[in-house]
Amino acid sequence: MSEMADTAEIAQSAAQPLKGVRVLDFTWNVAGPTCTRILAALGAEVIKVEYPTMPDPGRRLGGVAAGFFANVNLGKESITINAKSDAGRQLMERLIAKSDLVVESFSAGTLEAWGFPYEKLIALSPHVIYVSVTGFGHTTSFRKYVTYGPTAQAYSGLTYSSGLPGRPPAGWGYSHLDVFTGYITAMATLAAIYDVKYRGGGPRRVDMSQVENGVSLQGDLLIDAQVNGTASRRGGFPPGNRAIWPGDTASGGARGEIGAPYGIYKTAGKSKDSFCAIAVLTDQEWVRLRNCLGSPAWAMAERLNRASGRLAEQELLDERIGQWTAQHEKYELMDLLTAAGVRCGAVQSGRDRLESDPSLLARGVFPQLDLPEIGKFRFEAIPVRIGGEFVVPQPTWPVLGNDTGTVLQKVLGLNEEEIERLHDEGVTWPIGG
Amino acid sequence: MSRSPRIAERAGPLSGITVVEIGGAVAEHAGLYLAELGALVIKVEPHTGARSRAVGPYAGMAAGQTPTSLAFWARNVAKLSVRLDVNQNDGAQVLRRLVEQADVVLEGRDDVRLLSGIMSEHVADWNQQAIHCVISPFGEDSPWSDKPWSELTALALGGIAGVSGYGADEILDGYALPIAPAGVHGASMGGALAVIGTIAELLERKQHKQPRPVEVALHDAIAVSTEFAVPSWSFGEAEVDRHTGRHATVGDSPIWNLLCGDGRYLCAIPLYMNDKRFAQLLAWLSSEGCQDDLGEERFSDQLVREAEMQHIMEVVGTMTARHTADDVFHAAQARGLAWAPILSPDELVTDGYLRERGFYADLNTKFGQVSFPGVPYKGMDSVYNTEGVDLAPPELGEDSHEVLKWLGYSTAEIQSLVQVGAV
Repeated sequence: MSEMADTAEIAQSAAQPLKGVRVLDFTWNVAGPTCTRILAALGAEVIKVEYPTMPDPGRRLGGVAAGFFANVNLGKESITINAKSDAGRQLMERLIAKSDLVVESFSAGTLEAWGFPYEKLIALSPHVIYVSVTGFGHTTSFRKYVTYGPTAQAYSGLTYSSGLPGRPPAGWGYSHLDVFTGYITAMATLAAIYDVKYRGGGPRRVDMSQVENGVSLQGDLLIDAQVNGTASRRGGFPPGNRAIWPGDTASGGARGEIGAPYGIYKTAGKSKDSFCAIAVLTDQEWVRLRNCLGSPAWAMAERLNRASGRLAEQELLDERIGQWTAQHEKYELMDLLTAAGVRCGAVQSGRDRLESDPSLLARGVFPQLDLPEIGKFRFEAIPVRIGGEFVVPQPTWPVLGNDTGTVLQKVLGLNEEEIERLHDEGVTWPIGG
Repeated sequence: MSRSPRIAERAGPLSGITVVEIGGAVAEHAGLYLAELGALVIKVEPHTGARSRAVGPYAGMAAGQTPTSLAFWARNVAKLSVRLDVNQNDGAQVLRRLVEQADVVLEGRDDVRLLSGIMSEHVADWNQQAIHCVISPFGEDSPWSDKPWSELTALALGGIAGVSGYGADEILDGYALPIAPAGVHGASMGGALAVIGTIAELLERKQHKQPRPVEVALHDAIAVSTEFAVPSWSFGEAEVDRHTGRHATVGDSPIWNLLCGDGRYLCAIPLYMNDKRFAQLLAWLSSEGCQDDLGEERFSDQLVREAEMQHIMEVVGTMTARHTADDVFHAAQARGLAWAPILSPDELVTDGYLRERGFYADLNTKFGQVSFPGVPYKGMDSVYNTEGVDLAPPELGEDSHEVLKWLGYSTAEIQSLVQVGAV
């Protein structure tokens, strides 16, 4: 990639609707930081607050995941304050008083224990928006329960709904409820900002629950259970990669689409991702797929012309289609089938998306950024274009404590001497640390 | 079903915003999120109805009844439905007047292109102040823009299926099968991101600027949303491996879903097992007589524990097998362990935590009272705090008359539009 292209790609995103909005960010790991990453990319001044003796656990990720922390925290500044000292808490009070948002993802009660319940935040900053992200929210008898993404996925039914009937749950290979909760929290927070700015002032409270966010993704199944009495623990559910498991009369599907053949098929190649997905949603699409298969005799059976017949014959269809796909490479199959009007997509790995995917490459979804102490790598854009441009965070990341002085100077007007004293007295950095 | 007026002030931070939603599954999700935040969302449907009305699960399957799609219900709460043939001139004129009144136009090109470009060409002409959010599977400028897609193929291409599913410990027919989790997970993610862009532009518009178009491609949205898979390659040129029921990682990892005595699985995630948590766990196992060799000195070393976590989890499994998933859950949480039972969707309907939280929106429907998923946050109003407006999902075209009257059409004009089949 040329220097010119780099410069163009890292050019500050044109969308700055949150310019002038200051966010005090106490979030850790993935869910909360995903939200504040979006706020930073939209122009907010996001100040990540930690202390070296207990930093964001995401900083401890080693090996190949080291850049992951920088990716999730792009565009933020880092300040270190000892919340367990009186002087540290006083400093936080002063920062909160100058902030529009306080965002945190501690266990419920932590911020209160530091002396900052919502009422105190309001007293310090009358129009404050206080956003918290936890597994179970702050309002019930479960508020002290601790969770990670997979815990919330387990409780909310998302893990159960992924897998083959009669097999252990397949679940999710990543914390969907960290990423997706980051998005939903950013969305609700933006709405709260709109509300405060243009519909009558703050303060506002957004108490996000990852579990509820997962449950909100299961509306079809929850309503089916109530209206039709459909039990989830039954022979044909979850449906593997199918829309409906053969013979599962109780099911009306859970994917927002129904068809057969419908599945993920082994292709040629030895990679763990040598598979492709094929979804036939209409009778016409079946005829197209049949033509691609070369119209073999078994596929010409009259009963397969209708969806009901194909749904009943999925075992046969999948066996025969799998024999065919196993002879072809996944992208070759995708090209062949999609050109014929059949819905097909290769199962793509991380490397595939970065190197082989012409759509993501052409659109610049992974801009190369040059980050201090990290170097030049390809990062993830916020996948939203505004005015034709992706929302790309600033090419900076919160090196621990690097912005303490700058932030204290620009936000609180402290001079060099005062800043140095806070450092030496162990308020902004451990003594001798 | 006759309802009181539905064009009424709704509760929520976006109260007063009017949205026109047209198109497929992703726009439908975006419309739901905007409606939940208090916007008035008017869904424009073709004469045959939105595609989601023709997808199960269904209710009302008895002879003589028209089946009702519960998939449609799940994503169209609190919206209004206008049935409009936008491919005929009179219908397009109604659409124009709707757009003229809108703050936001959500246009989903993720479905069949019913509109043959009508919207994109005209929205800016019709209403310069409207935020036009276009949602498509791959993006209009993508080399894949014409490829047919589905929820399933989107999860495959975006990488969710590649990291999720079965691993080396669950080989079926000779290989470890990727699984695309059941649900509508691509469209929900795309919808949330479309709303993020839309609200960002609502804020821009208030700052005296003419709104710019917002564009979301579903494939982009999923491709950057799988946590470690992309960064692992980008920063370390390593690919993550798929493991049964848990995170994909570079190399192997210990199991974490354990079978309990009641046949339910429990997610006993062993991450961040520091000295304090391990001591709690060991004391618990010992009290049950299940500690095996975990009391040996070497397990006090975190590095040893991490190296032997598979063994530790197998020992824990002998304990969980003796109790219900629910009992292990509460006992683990009392010890600061972030474990939870793997609940099935139907179990969530009566779940005590969700009821205590006040999560569900209990709405009256033609099938009686139904608990719809509410919003996942408390503390801020949502549409479910609205009083006196019936929020149950609309029948096809149910609100056409009310909306046309609101647009200023007379009763005679509405009748003539109905006669020519535009409405």
